[in-house]
Amino acid sequence: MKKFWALFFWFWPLVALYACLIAPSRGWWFPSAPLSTLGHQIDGLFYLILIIVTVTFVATQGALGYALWKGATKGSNEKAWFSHGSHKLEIIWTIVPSFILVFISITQLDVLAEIRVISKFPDSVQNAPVAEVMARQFEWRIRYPKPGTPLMNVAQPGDLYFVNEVHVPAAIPTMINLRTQDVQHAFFVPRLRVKQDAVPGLIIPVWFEIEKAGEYELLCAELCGWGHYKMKARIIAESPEGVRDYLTRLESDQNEDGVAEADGSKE
Amino acid sequence: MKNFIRNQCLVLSSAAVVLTAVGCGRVGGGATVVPDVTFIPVGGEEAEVSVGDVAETATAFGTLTGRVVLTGTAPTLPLIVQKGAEIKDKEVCAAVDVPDERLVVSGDGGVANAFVYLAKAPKGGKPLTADPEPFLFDQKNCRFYPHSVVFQVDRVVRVLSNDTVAHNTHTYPDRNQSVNSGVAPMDRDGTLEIVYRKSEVVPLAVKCDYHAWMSAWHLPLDHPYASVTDENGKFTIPDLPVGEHSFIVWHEAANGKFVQRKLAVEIKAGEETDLKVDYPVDLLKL
Amino acid sequence: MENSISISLKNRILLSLLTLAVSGCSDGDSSFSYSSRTQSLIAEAQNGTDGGPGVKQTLDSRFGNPQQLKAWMKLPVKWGGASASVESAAESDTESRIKVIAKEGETLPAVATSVQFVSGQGAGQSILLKSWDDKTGEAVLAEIPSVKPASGDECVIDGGSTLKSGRVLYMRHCSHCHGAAGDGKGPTAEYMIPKPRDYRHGVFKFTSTNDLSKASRADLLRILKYGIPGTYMPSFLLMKEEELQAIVEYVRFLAMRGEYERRLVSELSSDYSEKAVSDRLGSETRKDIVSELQEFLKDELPETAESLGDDLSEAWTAAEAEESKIIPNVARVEDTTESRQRGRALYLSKTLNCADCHGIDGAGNGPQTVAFEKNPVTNELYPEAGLHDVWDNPNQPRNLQRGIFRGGRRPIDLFARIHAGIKGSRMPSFKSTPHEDIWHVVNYLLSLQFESEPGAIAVKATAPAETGE
Repeated sequence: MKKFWALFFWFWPLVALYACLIAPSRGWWFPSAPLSTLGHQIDGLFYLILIIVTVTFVATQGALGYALWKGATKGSNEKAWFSHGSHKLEIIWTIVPSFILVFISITQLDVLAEIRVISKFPDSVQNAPVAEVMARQFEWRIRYPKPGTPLMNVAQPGDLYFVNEVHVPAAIPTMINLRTQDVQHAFFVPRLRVKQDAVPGLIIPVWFEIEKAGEYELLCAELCGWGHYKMKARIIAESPEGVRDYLTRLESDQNEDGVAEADGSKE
Repeated sequence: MKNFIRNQCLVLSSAAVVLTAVGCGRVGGGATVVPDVTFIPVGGEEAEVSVGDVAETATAFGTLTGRVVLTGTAPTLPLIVQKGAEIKDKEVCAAVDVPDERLVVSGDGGVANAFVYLAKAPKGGKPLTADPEPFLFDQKNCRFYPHSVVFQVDRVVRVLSNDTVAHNTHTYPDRNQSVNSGVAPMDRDGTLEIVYRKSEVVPLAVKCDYHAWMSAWHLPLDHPYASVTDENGKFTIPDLPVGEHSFIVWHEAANGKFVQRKLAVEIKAGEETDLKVDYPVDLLKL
Repeated sequence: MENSISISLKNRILLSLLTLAVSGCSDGDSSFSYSSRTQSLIAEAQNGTDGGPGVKQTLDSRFGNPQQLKAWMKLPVKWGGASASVESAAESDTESRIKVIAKEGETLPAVATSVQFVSGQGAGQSILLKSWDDKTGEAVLAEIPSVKPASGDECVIDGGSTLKSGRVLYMRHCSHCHGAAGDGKGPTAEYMIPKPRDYRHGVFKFTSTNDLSKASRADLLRILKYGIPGTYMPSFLLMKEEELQAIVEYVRFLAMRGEYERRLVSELSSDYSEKAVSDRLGSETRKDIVSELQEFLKDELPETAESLGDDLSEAWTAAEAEESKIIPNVARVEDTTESRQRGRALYLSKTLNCADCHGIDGAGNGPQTVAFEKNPVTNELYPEAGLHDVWDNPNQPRNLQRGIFRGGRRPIDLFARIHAGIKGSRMPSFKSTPHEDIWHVVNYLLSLQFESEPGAIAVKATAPAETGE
């Protein structure tokens, strides 16, 4: 019976390890390779921490299982061994984890700075957001500046509006201004590993460089109400000409006066 | 202890099974269960031909005349708008006194603006011919003219304005399409046309949203056997087929708006039947 | 100790299962809610008498309930599948085959799983298909029908597929606000201002059709795709096109059902509502009233029930026609300062009188917004000041300085708002105003949010060269 519990506690960590090993081949892992420059760095950090944690996990679970097994196989007539603790052991298992944690916190500093510190953003995106992404229960409202003019925080005449679809250039560092109209939301693009909370009252610049043109899913990652689960949008990364064409089409749609289509000629 | 654990596991797993079944829509109704659809063909039974679609016209007719009289002391209603009052658009809307038209009673108790009509075209009634001339529905000094009126269906109603301020005419019918349209100031041509395609069961309200005290009543019918009482409470309905008829007497200030739901009247050939409709003062709900 | 535990555990198991059953399971008999007007009729009018079915049965027999929907083929709803008629039918001991030809204007679906016979001796039979060939119209039925289909019988192939899909999607995405019956009283609706749309008037506010027409499918699709900014209606842009269209059909179905119920009740309410009957009891007996109702239900209501369907069909079909759409007779006037000033002058003028509701500066604070008004139908004062819509919800005039245009911000959208008004609200239609004047007002409105001070028109007009005019 006692052996059962020892095996029980040894069994589940083995299952977990096995699941992690087969996860990528079964599609239980990340949705794709990180397709942004920051994404690679974020994934790198993730793997580093994963390795550290796995080693620790295996070691501690192994020790736990060993202790259980030893206790299980001990005769019931044997005397229990009492310990008054070991000062040396206490020091070791305080200093080693602290060292690991400090190491992790220092290693990730430059990536964090690139994500969060505006002065560390690439020069080309400084003060040049391409769109304002306003999160709202339960959709994403996009405002592009009039082509050829910079994006202002206050709506300007000629600004172009859309909802749930953002067009940005691929392979170029791009920045958007993240805002929210009501409660907290979060701008999360899993395939790019970009995630940033939208806080009411703040305008938060978020930059990314999408390596490959294509369609990316934008999800809300901060519980914002009953519709949080379906608060999705599309990010479409295409060539700069493609984005320009899209904005031109958007502008002409937005200026539709209902007459052009009747006689077939559009200006 | 073993039993306890086993029983707890039983409870929890059965709960899990039931909840999963319910959540996955296998049990009970629920949003995700695909519904059944049964088709009902067009057509259905051919309904009996209703009144109004008669084989022959009657040959003997009579006339109904009468008065709607308020029995009891009529309350005096204060003016809706006093001349010179400080209200919106006062140069136009407060240029004259505007009385409260909900109850207009003549000196001897005759109630104006009451509707006397048959609910349905009677058997043998004369066929309906809508007047080809459009009806001119006017407004002046923020007051509709006329206050109560009967039309026949498909008659064109032109909304005119004799005021230098904008009005909008907003109708609230049951069977017809509601109209809510602006009327330009001093529109003497009547650019806004209203056509009632269906008869109504009771008169419908007509309002102005800019000047909420303005009101009028329209009653489109598919037969001509209706009348609105004049300022003395008098009404006349000619050419009624001989026989028993059941009239509705409707007035906006009555409790429930019906003065009489089923006023039985016998019409005799060639004769004028006179009717006095009593409108008790305690029926008023103002 | 163990005995007492096991006995109470049995009870506990039973109790928990019972609780779950009560809370989670329904008895499978879901139903559409009935409007409050229906429920204000006397019971005999609602439920019918020996004379004939009442409002509820008449309604249910034509629309069904959410689990057992009824597709009344008179209504202009795209039910899914195709209408066809049986050309020939062959039956052997083991199987039944039919060959169908599609009705005019319909195409047989590529995939079909069921056939339903709607006319002839075998009407009402619904049979699954074992095989289906849409090119030839040949089908093998999965079972032998009890009545053999005859040539000329009308049927529906894979009928209701769109409606079913629409209903499932609607319940998942829409019903929590709009209610299962489209009454705008779903569980989350309580917390919202403005309230979600109650479809049962058959009225939708933001359309591209003229003031006397219903909303077209394109209008409803537009709302689904782009949402209504400034309200709780989100955009469903990411749903597939077929899914959006299925939802639109189901919403139209619910709107037709609601309007049908409303019109049915109108026929009865002036004489047979609770209030009317209690008034009548002063001079008549209840027995007389009920027998009169019985005659009405037998003689008159059936014909009305059919003609109401015709009315709905006519109205909703007309909404799709080109004639219903608002097309300005002049292209948008160039957006210059002069045009905007002219627009402002029109806005303030007594001809259009916009300022009465929308305020001198377009802030939605005109004098109408503080007046107490009466419900035009019941003549009772509304509890709060200001304007109300046909759903009796407070419906204040838009604050035009915010730049939020619920029905869309394109010039044509604003034109349609002014030309047709906003159906169901107090915003009237200005269809007699010259279209050029409407464009001036539109130009003014689009510039309003950028005014540095009211009436200033401080923002310069954009140069025309870029728009290529």
